[in-house]
Amino acid sequence: MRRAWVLVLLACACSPTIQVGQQLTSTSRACGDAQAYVRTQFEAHCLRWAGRELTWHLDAAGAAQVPGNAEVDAVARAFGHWAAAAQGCSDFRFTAGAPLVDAVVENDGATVVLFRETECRSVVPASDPCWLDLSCGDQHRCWDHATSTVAVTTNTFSTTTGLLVDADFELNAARFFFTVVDEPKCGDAPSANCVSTDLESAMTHEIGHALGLSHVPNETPFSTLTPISEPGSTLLRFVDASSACFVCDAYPSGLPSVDCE
Amino acid sequence: MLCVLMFLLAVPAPLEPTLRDAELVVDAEIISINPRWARDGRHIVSEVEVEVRSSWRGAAPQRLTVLQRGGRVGDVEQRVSDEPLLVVRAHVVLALERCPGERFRARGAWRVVDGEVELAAQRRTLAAVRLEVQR
Repeated sequence: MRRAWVLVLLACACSPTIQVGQQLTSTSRACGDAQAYVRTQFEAHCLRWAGRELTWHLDAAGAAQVPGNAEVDAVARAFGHWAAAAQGCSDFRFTAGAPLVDAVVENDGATVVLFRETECRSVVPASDPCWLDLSCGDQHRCWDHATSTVAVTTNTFSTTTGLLVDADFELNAARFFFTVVDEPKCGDAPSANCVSTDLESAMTHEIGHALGLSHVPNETPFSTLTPISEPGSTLLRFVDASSACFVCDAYPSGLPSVDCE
Repeated sequence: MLCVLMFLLAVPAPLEPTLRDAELVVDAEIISINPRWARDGRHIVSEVEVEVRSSWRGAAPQRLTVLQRGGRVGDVEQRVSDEPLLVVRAHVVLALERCPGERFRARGAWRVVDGEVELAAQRRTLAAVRLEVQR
C-alpha cells in the first residue's frame, strides 16, 4: 500500500509542467456543482476579449514531427473543444485563418500558433544581441522559454480595461515530441505512431489561457487548466465542465464580455 | 490504514520540478522592474534588478539582472504564461537560469510571507525549503 502511494507521488514530481510559477493575480469562482475556474486578473479587471471571434493562423512551417498536415487538424480540434463549450450559451467563435509564412509572436492582433523545433541556446551565438532583448525566439525561430515548459501563451491586453488585444502560442518541439494519434502510449522512443506529448491536449490548455483563464491548483483532477502535463496521455483533450462555465459566464451570447465581479 | 494515512500526511510534497532542477536558487528581494519595448517593437521585455540575500544552489552575484518577456509599458501589458510574476520589494525564492550577456532568466518565483513559502499547496518555513533545495 505504501509503495503504491510513493509511486504516485514520484510520478507527479517527474511530470513536466505546462506552466510554472505564478501568473498575475487571479480570481476563482464556482460554477454550479462543477469545480472552480480561475480567471486571470490584472488589478481590478479580469482578462477578456471584447470581440467574439478569434481567428487563428498556423505558422506555415507547421510541425516537422507530425506527418503531413495532421497538426492543422489537431489544433483545429483543440479550438473545436472550446467552440463546443460555447455552444448554446456564448457566441464566441473560433475561425481558422490562412497559414502565415514566418509568423512571429508580436502585438499585431493576429493569433498565431508556432512550433519551435530547436532551442535558442543550441543555435544562437552568445554574442548575438537578441539575448539582451529576448528576441532570439522570433529572430532565429527557436524556443527561448524554460526547457521543461511544453507550450506558452503570450497575451497582450489593455491595463485600463483588461481587454485582450492579442494572443499567440508557441509549442516546444525542441524538447517535446508532439503527436496526434490516439494510442498507444510511447515508451522510451517517441515517434509519430504513439502518444508522446499530445498536441490536441496541449493546445486545448493554452487556448484556455488565451481566453482569460489561469491554472487551477495542482491537485484539481481532470481540469483543462491543470498545470501538470502527463506524457503519453490524451485525457486532457477536452474542456472540463468548470472551464466551459467560464466561457458562458465571461462571454454570454448577445451581451458584452463580463469583467470580474 | 491509519498509520499509512499519518505517514502520508507527515511527508512534505516533493519539490516542484522547476525548483528541484534549477541551476541556481536564491533567496532574494526584487529591487526594481524596468519594462521596455524590444528594439524590433514586437514585444515587451523587462529588466528586473534583484538583490540576493543568500545563494542556496549555485554561485550568484549579490546583485543581478533578470530578463523577462512581458511587462507593462503605458497602458499595454504583455504576459507570457510561463514567466513568473515579480513584484517590486517582494521577498522571493527564485529559480534562475544563466543567459548570455551576464543576465538571468527566472524559471520560477515563490513569494516569502512571514518567513514561509507556499510550495505545492503546502506552507513551509524558508529554512525547511532551503534544506530541501540543498539536499
